[in-house]
Amino acid sequence: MSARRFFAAALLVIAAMRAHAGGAAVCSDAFIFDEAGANVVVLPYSNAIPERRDLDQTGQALSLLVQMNTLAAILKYESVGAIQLIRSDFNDVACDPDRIWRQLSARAAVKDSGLVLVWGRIFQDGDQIYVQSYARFARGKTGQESWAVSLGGASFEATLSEQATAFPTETFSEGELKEIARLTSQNAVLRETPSDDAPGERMGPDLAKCLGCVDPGRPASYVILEQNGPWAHIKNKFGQSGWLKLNTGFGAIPLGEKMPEIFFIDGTVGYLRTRKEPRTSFARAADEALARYTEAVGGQPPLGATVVAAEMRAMLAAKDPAGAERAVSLLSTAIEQSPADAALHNLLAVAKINRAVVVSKPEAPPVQDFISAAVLDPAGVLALRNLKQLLQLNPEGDGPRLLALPADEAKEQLALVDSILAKRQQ
Amino acid sequence: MIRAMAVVLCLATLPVLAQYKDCRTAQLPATYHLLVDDFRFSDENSVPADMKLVREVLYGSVENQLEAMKLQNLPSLRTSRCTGRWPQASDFTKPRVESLNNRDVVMELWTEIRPSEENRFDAEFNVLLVPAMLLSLSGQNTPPLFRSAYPLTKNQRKEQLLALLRNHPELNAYALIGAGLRAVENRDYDVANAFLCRGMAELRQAPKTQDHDKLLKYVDAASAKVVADARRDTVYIGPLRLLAPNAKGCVK
Repeated sequence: MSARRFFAAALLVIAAMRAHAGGAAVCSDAFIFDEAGANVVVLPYSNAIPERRDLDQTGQALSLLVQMNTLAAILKYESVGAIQLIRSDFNDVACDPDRIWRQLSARAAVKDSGLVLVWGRIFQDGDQIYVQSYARFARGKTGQESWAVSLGGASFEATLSEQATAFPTETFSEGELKEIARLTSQNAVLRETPSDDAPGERMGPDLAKCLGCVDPGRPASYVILEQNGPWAHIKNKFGQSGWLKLNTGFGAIPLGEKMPEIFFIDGTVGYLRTRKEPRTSFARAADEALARYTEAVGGQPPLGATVVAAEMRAMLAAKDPAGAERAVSLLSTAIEQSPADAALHNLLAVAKINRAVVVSKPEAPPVQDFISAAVLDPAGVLALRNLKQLLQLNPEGDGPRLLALPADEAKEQLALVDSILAKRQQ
Repeated sequence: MIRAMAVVLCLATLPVLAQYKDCRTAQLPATYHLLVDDFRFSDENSVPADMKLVREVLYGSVENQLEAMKLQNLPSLRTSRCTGRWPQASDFTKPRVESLNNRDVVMELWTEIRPSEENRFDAEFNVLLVPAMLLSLSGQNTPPLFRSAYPLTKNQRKEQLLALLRNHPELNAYALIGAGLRAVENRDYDVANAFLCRGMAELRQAPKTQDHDKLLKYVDAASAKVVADARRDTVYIGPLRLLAPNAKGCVK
């Protein structure tokens, strides 16, 4: 096993660890693993009825399940961490998502790593549990994810529509939650050899016995030592090591069937990893996860996450002719769902320019797409700057990638765009 | 699939519990206000405990939804909780509506949860679209008051409660359209167009009703007026001038 391999892939997990204030994973001590290229941090799901303290365990259990299943799902991106934070007491204000985000995103910026923060609310009605999750993500110092395409000396830029999103409310029964917990516990086992029959030790608390319990004796952070087929050899900072099977029920699928946002989180981690360290296998896995999210939620509002999933897939796809075509197709479909999204129109226009560049087949300049983006964005300048560059391009001088615009019309529009930009930049 | 029932609001029959109590809003620049009043039962004393919990969760869920609205480069929409306020239609006299409008209150929501049949409650969202009550557009009109009713029946509780706790695009639509109409009054063309387009997009995801159809037509007319006014306004310099002569401000 090479040192490169040893350090290239870091898998870090800290599972429900503490039962007293001051533990390493309480919200006030929130952290990310500096070694990881991307971290997923899961806050405790809060009760929609704050007075119902008896539901605290369910919220705790759910955040642990989200963290553990996310961890298993994102192992394929190699250098990743998954952290569950817990409350120090019932009214722990340190678990405020905005506060945690400010703290951890600053650290991720220093380490140039990706960060996905997940939180949510639960409500229990009889034996039925209702969950709404939220997620926010960023990469290193890149406050806003962007994509630039160069053509004829111009650089066209686009951003994602949003990097914080709400997911549709989902529901499942207590029995279903327990079954997912059982599957998770059963498969989250470090075995002595890469074999299902080998003796093993649980990575976290036995959720089948006590859902929502925390185990102060199992603080853990793992690195991947080597991979052998579906098995990963991992060890933690405390000397515990073993083989973890990846393609088992311990992964995105069992919980993802009830909470499709697990697929979104999986795909977002893949997106963040790919943007920093482009790899075809990461991009493909991220695309599959995001497609799975889109399919699972259908047209269920809120559509923000569905649109962002399409945008991330388009950005990941657009490297070759087929991918460039697919990026345009994905974004065109997203616009049918969200026709008033300015950033999405701008991104579609940039994807069309990218297609012209990659495919080397002349196409109409996406003037109307940039205008649509501009009229839907009452204060922004990005689409207007892109439009200005497009109107300034001389297609004949830069190869037959974009069809020429009528010169008089382009000149008139350019003068208008200049005056709008001047006004907005005052 | 559970579908919401939405009908024209005829609020004259609301019970005597109605209270028009003042609700203060912070005076902030570039901010439009959404008032969220009480969620009440028609008879608080005979309500099962589990329904009281549903009310509490629903209130939080609606508040979260409105606060989570994505607004790229738009003036913010600020939700104000108006505890103790629970109006009825007749409370909205012209002076009161004008006063709300002058404070940039664009939408008010109050909710009643009432037993309708045996083992069934209906949660009814009542919404006043404040500027729509004042802004008349030639050839188009819209009811300014809307009601969406979501049933909760004992034997379909799981699906219906999920529908109730899920996102309600019509509420986002009313808020965005209200803000857009207010911006129309202020001749803030770019902001008006962006809000109205987003409102229409949200409304198209909402349950289809006659009132929503009317509102869509009304907003479409308002958007066309914005584009036309912007073009006529010699002082205006903005992207609406980039549109082709007969183009609309919103992409369908």
